[in-house]
Amino acid sequence: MLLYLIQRIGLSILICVTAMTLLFAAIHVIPGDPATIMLGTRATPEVRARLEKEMGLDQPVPVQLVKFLGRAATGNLGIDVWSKRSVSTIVMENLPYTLILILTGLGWSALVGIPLGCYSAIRRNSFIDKFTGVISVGTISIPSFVVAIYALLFFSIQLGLFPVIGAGENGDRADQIWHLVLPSLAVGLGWVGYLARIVRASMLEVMGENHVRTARAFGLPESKIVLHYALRIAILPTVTLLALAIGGLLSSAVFAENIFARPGIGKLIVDSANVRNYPVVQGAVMATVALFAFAMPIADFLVAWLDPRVRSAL
Amino acid sequence: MEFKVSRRAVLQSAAAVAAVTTLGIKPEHVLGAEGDVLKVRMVGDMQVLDPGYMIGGVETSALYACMPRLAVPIHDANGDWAWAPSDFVEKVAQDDDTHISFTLKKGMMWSNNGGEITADDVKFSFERMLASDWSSRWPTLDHVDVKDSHSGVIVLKTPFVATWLLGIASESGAILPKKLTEKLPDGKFTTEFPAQHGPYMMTDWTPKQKLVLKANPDFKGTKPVFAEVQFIDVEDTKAAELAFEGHEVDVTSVTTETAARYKKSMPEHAKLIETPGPFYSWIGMNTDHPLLKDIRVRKAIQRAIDVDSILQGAYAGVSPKAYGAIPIGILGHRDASKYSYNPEEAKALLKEAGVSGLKLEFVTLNQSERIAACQIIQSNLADVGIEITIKPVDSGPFWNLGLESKGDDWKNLQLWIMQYRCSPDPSDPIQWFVKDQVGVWNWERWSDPEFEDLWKKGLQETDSEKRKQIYLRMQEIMEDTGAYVWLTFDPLFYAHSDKNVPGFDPGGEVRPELCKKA
Repeated sequence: MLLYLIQRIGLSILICVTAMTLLFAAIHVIPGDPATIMLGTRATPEVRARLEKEMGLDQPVPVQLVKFLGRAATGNLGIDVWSKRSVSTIVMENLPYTLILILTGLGWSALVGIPLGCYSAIRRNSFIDKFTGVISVGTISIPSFVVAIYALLFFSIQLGLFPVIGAGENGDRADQIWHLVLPSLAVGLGWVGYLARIVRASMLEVMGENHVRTARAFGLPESKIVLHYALRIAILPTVTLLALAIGGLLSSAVFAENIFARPGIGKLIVDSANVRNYPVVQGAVMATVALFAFAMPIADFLVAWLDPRVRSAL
Repeated sequence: MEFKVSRRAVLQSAAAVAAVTTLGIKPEHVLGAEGDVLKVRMVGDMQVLDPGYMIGGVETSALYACMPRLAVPIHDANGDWAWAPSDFVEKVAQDDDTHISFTLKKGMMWSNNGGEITADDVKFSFERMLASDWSSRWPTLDHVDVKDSHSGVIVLKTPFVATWLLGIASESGAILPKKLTEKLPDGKFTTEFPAQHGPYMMTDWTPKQKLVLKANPDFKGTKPVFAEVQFIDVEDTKAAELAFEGHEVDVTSVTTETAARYKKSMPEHAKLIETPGPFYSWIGMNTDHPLLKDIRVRKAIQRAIDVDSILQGAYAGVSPKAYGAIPIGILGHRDASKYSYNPEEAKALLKEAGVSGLKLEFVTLNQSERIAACQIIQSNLADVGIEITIKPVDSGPFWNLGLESKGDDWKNLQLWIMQYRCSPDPSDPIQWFVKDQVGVWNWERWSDPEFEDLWKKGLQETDSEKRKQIYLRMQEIMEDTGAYVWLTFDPLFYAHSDKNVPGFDPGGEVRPELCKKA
């Protein structure tokens, strides 16, 4: 188990290094002088040269990459060339907003998708099952930004029920939750269908297993069999799915954060990329890559922890 | 205390995670702040407040609102930008071409136990700018003489009329607390003032969310109207427009398309302000390119392009027509030019030049209105027999096109749409077209002895009328090169609640201390 975990964590580190190398390459392939773009036409050559030096752009690309990875290994993501603030600090200011958004989005999808999938499996081929199938495909196929825009236009602008922008007042938890409702709905809605389909399939499989048949033979109530014996096993594949979902949810969060003008790592990347603020782009992308890369081993660990059969197989 | 996490507990609680989102919701959270709080959308987050190293945007607003200064920009009787003494001075005046004397009011105290605001602070702040990123705002500043604790004289090496609007009355004229600033690492600051004293005090900043200014109870000048001004970070303009329509911001800039829509149908309780922007746009031609060397060809292009159609088709009909390089509201602005749309004259000029079957490349930033403008230009020029290939490019390669230091693209450059931004002195928009700027920002690559001579005179002429004539003539010379088709001075549109009236600086940034209730 320990060896397995070490291997997975090593793989995650390799994914991070590879992703950052590719990002570096992408940044340097883009034509144009970042300093000129950032400073505009008014900048003197001296100011441009100083900015290039501060960004490390005056050094060879491999040197820049090695320096960045070396610093990142110690948690130092560099300095924002404009505000002179630590990129790590900026990333850490924004990351919690994205994590809360993603987790709440997952919460929405779990809250709706798991019961829906469960009910569909129990009432297989019923009207509800077919209706759930349609709803599942529908929610999977609607892009999160479409959900975000229409939710914003209808619930906020038309009905005035929810806030349009921001993340709520500092220290006012209720206000922050109120600001979270629509963005998290936009982020999580697509995963309702995924979860419903996977829980349904898993439940159908579990409900046919021997221990369920035995429970029925002993005369246990159907509700107890479903919730206590079947769902606990059927829900395990969703843990892996949810870990995989992190990547998709991060990209959904980019749209939601920008449409709702909500702080977060996605909005930070977009805003920084627009002004070619490369140190911040690199740091923020590093954080998202790490989030995704380490979600998988964590999910594997969780599954192994929750399911002794998996643990013994390792 | 033992804390144990069981598998069962994890599985049981997982389903409850989403349920918390429905707790604690209060309808009043939907309502925007009202009364003494003004919510202004900021286009980007605050980065550097230090006037020597700032970027612009909300930093400009904060510098005007929270820091002392000698002078402020105002509109004169003609509607042009001029300057006036600030609330912080007993007196500030130009004594002669190279000397400006000032006397600060007594008893103005810095926050943060910074002591009284003195002439030493003025000397420190202005001389410090000479080694900063914004030294170009003070090109002829020599030094500041301190006469006593509250008065002194700004000494220029050579006369430079624009010192007022580019330096003293601009955001670059903010006065800093000498003692506290010198104590900072590198003597610079970013997101926190070492000390403040202005109509407002910056009290809170939440990165990527908002900047809060509160009225300064110790300020002895004109009291601001709003007790609190919040700058809300909404970087996407469309999101900001929705936030405005959802009553979550009271003031926001809007796009030209939205301005056109609002002009037809304003949202309830909203008003639209059109304020002259600091931008000037034109179609440029490379006078060094073999296909454009003949002035008759350039003049043919000038006359073949229907600017009115471009403004209707690409700028939603809400942008004013330009007749020069100096924007509206700046001394020397032109309201007519010597050429007009005349395809027949264009054909005649081409015939006279012996040019037929001309094929040219038109480069533009890949922005929707510019590409739309290019398509109209393409059609206009086809009418006189010139075939245009449109080449939209990203900002990266675009800004390198005319720079000799960035390769040989300038040799192939033919036609392009350009937009520059300027400060409110006529020397500022004109500075990029002098001989020294050929191969730098004078992409049209011409020079003219009279223009060079007028450039020097314009910097030193203190008589407004004479100075105006200098800049009018300079734009005429530019136009006579045939290398310019003036397009527009992209205006800034602001939507605001009908309960307030926002005030602006020359660059179009909201100045909180000028905002009023309707």
